[in-house]
Amino acid sequence: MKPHDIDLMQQADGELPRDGGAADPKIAAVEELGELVRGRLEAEADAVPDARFAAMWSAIDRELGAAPAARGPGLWRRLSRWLDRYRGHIITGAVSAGAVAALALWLRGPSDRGGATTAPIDTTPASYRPTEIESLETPGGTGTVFHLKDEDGASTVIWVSPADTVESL
Amino acid sequence: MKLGLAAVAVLALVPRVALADDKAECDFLEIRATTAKPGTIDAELKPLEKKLTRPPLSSWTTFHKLSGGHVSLQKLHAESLKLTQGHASLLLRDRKDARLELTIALDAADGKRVIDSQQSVNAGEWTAWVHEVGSDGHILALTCK
Repeated sequence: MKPHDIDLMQQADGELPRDGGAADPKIAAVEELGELVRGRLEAEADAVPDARFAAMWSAIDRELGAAPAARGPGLWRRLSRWLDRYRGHIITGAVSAGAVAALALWLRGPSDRGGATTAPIDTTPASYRPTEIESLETPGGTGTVFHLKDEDGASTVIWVSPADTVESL
Repeated sequence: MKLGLAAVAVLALVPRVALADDKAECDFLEIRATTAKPGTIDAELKPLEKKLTRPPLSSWTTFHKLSGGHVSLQKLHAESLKLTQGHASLLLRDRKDARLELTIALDAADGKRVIDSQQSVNAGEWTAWVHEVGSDGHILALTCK
């Protein structure tokens, strides 16, 4: 059987055993041709000057250096680290500020010390609750409750009429 | 050290707050109301003028101040008011911010109790206890903060 070219190439490369047939001169020719090509390429490689290699390596180094640096930790992580590091300072500062504010309010005292020059602020609550009469005793009379409202604000009148007056009506 | 100072400052505030919740500063006016004409209202009754000229108090025309003043109330400590025509006792039962729970008892000039009331009022508002004496009126008006 006539061998195919692929079989001859594999035999020339040592990947298949040689069968010692009529194809041996052809295999030898392939080997010789390979030697010629390999020798030619090695000669060209030797011809490249060392300076050229140095320039190539420098270019490669520059390319690697220009690659984006590894990303640092995110903002949240940095903030967490900062809080962990200064937690004691923050707590101390907050407690101190609260204490100072409380002390200032305490020292300021009641608002009736005078000195205020601005007009009083209307502090009528949004959800207004009128006066609530929880119990009313009017011995010998009759009580009536009036809730009034005018420009000066709300007021309550608890009116007691003597019983004899009511009876006479 | 810093925390210690802060704690002391906060603790020092606590009695102050409790004290403020247990007090009320009140102003009162005792008024005699009549139907005398021409009608007049004492200048010292200016804070109540608009209320006196509207129903139901406008059934009288002349308002004369009998007495008035300032009284400080401590929680659950009754205060006695000597009035020109009678006597009153005031009690601050409780206070929650601007809401005051008051007990007021009003005795007539003859010593008879005419009003005994418990109410929850807003700080700064006026409350008037009116007692008819014949055709005249005897009014105790009170506002607390």
